[in-house]
Amino acid sequence: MALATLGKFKEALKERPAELADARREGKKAIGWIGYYVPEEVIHALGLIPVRIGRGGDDRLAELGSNYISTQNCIFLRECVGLFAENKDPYVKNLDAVVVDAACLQMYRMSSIIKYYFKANTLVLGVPRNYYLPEGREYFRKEMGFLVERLENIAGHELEAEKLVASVKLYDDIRRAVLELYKFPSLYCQPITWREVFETVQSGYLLDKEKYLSLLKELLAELKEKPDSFGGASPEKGVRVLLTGSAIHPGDTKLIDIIEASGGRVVCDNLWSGLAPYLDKKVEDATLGGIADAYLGRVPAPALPYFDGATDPRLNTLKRLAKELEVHGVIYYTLRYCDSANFKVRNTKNALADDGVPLLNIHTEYSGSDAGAIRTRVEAFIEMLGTADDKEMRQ
Amino acid sequence: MMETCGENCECKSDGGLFRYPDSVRDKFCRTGGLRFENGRYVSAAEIWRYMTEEAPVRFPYKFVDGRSCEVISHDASFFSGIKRNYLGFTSWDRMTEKIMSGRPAVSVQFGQPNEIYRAAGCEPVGPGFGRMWLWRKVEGQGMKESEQRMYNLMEEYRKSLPAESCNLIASYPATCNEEVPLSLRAPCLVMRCSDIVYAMESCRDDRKLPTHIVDYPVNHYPGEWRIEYLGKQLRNLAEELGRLSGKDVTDDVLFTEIKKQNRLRKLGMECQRMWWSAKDPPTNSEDNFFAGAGAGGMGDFTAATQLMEEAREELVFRIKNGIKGLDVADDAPRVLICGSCSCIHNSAIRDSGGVEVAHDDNLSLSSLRVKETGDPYYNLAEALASLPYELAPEERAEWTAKMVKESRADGIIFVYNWGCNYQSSVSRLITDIVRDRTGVPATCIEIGELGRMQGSEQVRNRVEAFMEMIS
Repeated sequence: MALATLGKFKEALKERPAELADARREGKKAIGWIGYYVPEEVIHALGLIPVRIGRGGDDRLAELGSNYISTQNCIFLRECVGLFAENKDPYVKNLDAVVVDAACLQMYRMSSIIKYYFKANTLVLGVPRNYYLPEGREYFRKEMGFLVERLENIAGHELEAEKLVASVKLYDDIRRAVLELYKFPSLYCQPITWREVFETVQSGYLLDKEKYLSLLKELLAELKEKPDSFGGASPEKGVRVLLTGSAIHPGDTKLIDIIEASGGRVVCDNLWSGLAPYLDKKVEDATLGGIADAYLGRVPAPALPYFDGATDPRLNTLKRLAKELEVHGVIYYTLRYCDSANFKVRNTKNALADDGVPLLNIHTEYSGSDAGAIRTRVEAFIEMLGTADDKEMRQ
Repeated sequence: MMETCGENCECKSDGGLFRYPDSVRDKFCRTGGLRFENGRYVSAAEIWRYMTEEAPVRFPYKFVDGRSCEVISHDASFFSGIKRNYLGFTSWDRMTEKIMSGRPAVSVQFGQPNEIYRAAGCEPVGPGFGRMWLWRKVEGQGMKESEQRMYNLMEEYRKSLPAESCNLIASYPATCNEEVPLSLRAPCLVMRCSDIVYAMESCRDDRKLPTHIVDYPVNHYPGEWRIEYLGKQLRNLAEELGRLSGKDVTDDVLFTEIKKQNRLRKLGMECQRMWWSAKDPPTNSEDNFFAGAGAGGMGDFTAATQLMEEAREELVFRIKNGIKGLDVADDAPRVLICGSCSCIHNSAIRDSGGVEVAHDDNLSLSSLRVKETGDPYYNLAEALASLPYELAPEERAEWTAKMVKESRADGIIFVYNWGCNYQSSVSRLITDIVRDRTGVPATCIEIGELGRMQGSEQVRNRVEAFMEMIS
């Protein structure tokens, strides 16, 4: 039976563009943002409306973007440029500024493109590659402070400490709720699919935050009321898959559709557009410095380097998730020219192989022309995982 | 010991090799030789011998009369051009000698200043060092065989990386070959390239080499903290390099190196501006090396400075007497090359009747001026943070437009390697702005031939079409 709260999320999302336009008419400002290190709670605390920008899966928009940014760049960013070029997206056309972090250098370049060609008011947040050193942390704190200065100018007032504390609390509540929600798709009875959870979390980047939290709580309550949510249910058939690699954004459903149609069941992800940003964030001190430290102290974004294979927190998180969630295999999704993910395939595959977890790398774009080839590979992978699982069970 | 192919090797059948004419020998030998950093002096006669006897045997592909990016200028009357080639040809031997005698080789990024590395008694080597080291084991081969070996090495090492890594970075894993005498990886990350950091990370387990990165903060809003961050990292780098080499990098030692490099960069830009100001180009594209040599020092800043001073004298003479560079056409259209670690083969521009005025990355580095008093690390950071090539794209474009005007370029070609995200991403933005500010035509060309000595016909066609348009 469908979850009633999911319908409410859809309804809220449908109404959101009009709400946003109304709010702007009333004098409120909307701030688009994209990246892994943009402190959304600070935007919120300033009374600005945070909106995560970017969609995936639209080849036409990517082509449009390619008129401005070379085709040697990640297709998601090309589509982002296309969104600004077309200027029909209800969120993009309602922005007063765009905050971009410079962890991914292609994203940083994208900020220059939309600034020059489409006159977007872009605010870049520098991110240190030496994030583990005191000087790197100090640099980031100062970058954060400078970002806030620019946001204060847009807001027309200074950041108030009490409002920051309240926003930090709100975002921490959201984080806890998202982490709880993410537990459900990995349950054997799966009262909610991973795709539903993922779409819910994506909608949260657009919705009013208080409303989002309220809906999240309602959804969690509904899930907990379902009889088979926790314990008691017999394991369902299905190959358990964990998704990682390049970010998946709303609209980019090609791979997910194929996995589901092939009999695979995604139980979790480790994507920076999915679960990853929520995993280790803990704001101990609700000040700008404390927020900067909390963001930088998380498992690093894929775009930042880590040179010790044995202690790599990204790999260790992935391995931990694979083990805890009893996945049969990992599908590593890479978008063409998404170098931060592409270059990690070999090391990730080797690390998972040490734990006996197979990895399939799917390298693709947004066009549908390779869907058949991807389907064949995914089907074979899932069949292989299923066969191995059956053998294990027989033994 | 270097291996050679032997006299009967078919790879030498690429055609007749260029030779400097004997008629200029005596005059050349009457010019001074070159004094090197280690005190060694090489006479002009020895340079002549090397360039006419040893170099054609060891590097025949440099002397062929073909469409090669490696081919040297045939202008035998421009003596500093001959000496520059000598410095270039022998730089690898000098570097090898230093490394083999215990100077630690440290992998750096292309286009980054190297004062700290040299002051610390280390030898900075580029990302292509591994491949070059393995490639240079065999000498004496002709163009085709040399090129094939280069390509084979690149493809062999590309297997460790995604197919989409640029051709330069594709061979970065060659640094993991135990034969390659590398002591440390310590590049200034993010300068000009987004791939190198991922390549380093991808190779981290293949060979246990210490790594020490310097993070170049890309956010170009004015901010003192950005310089402080970079300055702290540069100081840490000096300490790390000092530990490696056993040398104490005092401020005085570093200032000595800064002054030396400042002087050469200044000379390089002075020569470049003289070249630009001449009614007719005083040298051909191959001998228009001033900004590049000023920036890089060709492995020996002492000898390079002397060479640049001689070049300046020759340029003065040529400009005063209206002497045009060899093979430069009348009213040759002038092209500024922009973009990433790649180049358009000179022959493609020359054969279209044009001439190159400079490369933007060389101009950028050659225009670097580091303050010579105060805190050397802060000064280096301050200079580095304002490198024109590394500025935010719009600011970089404004600077490029200024260079177009100053060099009197008739057009710009923005080149980027296949797989290069970082430079390709802003190619259109920069060329659009430059076109808008200067009115000169511009084109963007993707190069897939890094590592090849012969340019592809596709690139050649595009260059020729562009040159025809601006002629």
